[in-house]
Amino acid sequence: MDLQDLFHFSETFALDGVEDPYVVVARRPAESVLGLRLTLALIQVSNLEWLSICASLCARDRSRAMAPEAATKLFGAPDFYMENGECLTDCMLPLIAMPSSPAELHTVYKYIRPDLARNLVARLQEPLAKCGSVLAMHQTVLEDMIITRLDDLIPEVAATCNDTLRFKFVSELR
Amino acid sequence: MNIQQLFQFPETYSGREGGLPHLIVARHSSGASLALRLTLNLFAVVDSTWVSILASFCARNRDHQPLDLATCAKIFSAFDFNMFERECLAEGVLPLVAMPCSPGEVRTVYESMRCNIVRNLATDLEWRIERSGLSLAISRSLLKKLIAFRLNDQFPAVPVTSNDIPSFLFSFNRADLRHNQKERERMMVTSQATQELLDQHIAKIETFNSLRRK
Repeated sequence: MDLQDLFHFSETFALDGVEDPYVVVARRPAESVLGLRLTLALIQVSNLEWLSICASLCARDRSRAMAPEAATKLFGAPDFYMENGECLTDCMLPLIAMPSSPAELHTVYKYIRPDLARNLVARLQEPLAKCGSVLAMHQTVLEDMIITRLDDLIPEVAATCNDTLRFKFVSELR
Repeated sequence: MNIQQLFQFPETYSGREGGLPHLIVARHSSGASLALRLTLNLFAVVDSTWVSILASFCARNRDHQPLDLATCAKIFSAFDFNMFERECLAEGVLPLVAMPCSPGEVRTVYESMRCNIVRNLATDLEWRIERSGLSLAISRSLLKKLIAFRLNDQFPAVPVTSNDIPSFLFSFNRADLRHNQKERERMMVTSQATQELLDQHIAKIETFNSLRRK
């Protein structure tokens, strides 16, 4: 067990122009790594735009981008593509359709939160297992990390309402 | 007594800027009338944008011609008339919910306070009409009903569509994917998207009402 395992430090790498780093979640012999980055994104599902959790995966070999075919072969995840010189794929969870608010988003998130991290880790493990890869950290550590990150991304926000119920002329408000 | 008075149909006229008609709610002894229109609008209060109820008043003379600002200020002294682009208007605002919010939340807030909103607006209006020396053009009960109906039309029920299955999926169409580049912009994106949809929604209501009028 090395120092990272002992203290649950996670190894990360950053991409140019991307604010948050990718956390290494899988590793293959040599220096091929699979990084995970969680964000919120708007995606089109049927005719609606859904606010979704996006688990972006980035495959790298010796700190360089990997070819999509090689990434699929090593890590099993489907649909790798090249974007800005990086080998990426996305795993999505639509949460709430627009129009919606941050408060409603948090309500939905709170409802599915208990199963969410476990399901995402299972989804990541599925293709890894097929090609003989394993997670780079303990499953529970990864689940904790995912939940911590998602809690930051989707904070509890209450709607700001007015309960004075008094009309005012525009000039009085400005 | 004409047929409108007999059946208590409210008289209306259109403002110069179009949109929903104004309902005549008060009259002056000179024949001038004061009309009210209730709409849902986005309104900036300090540094927030609020989804608000906008009560817009306009005034006409006996011949249904718009009055100038000086005459409005004199006849309708309890109403704060100002010169807008094309017409003299007095606009009252009731901010309801701050953006970012969804149409569903706006409806919920309105529902929870509906009775008080209608009563307060009607009471305030009656007080201002009395203070200006005007007479109500319709009965008190009809005034309240009209306010309630008008407001109710402005807040359609929009259910929230959400997903309760916590399963992540690969293979979404990348062309449809729009990443938020920075997470700190998350709220802004939500707010903007909600606002755009709300704008569209308000525009649809306006169009619907104008078609209904025709």
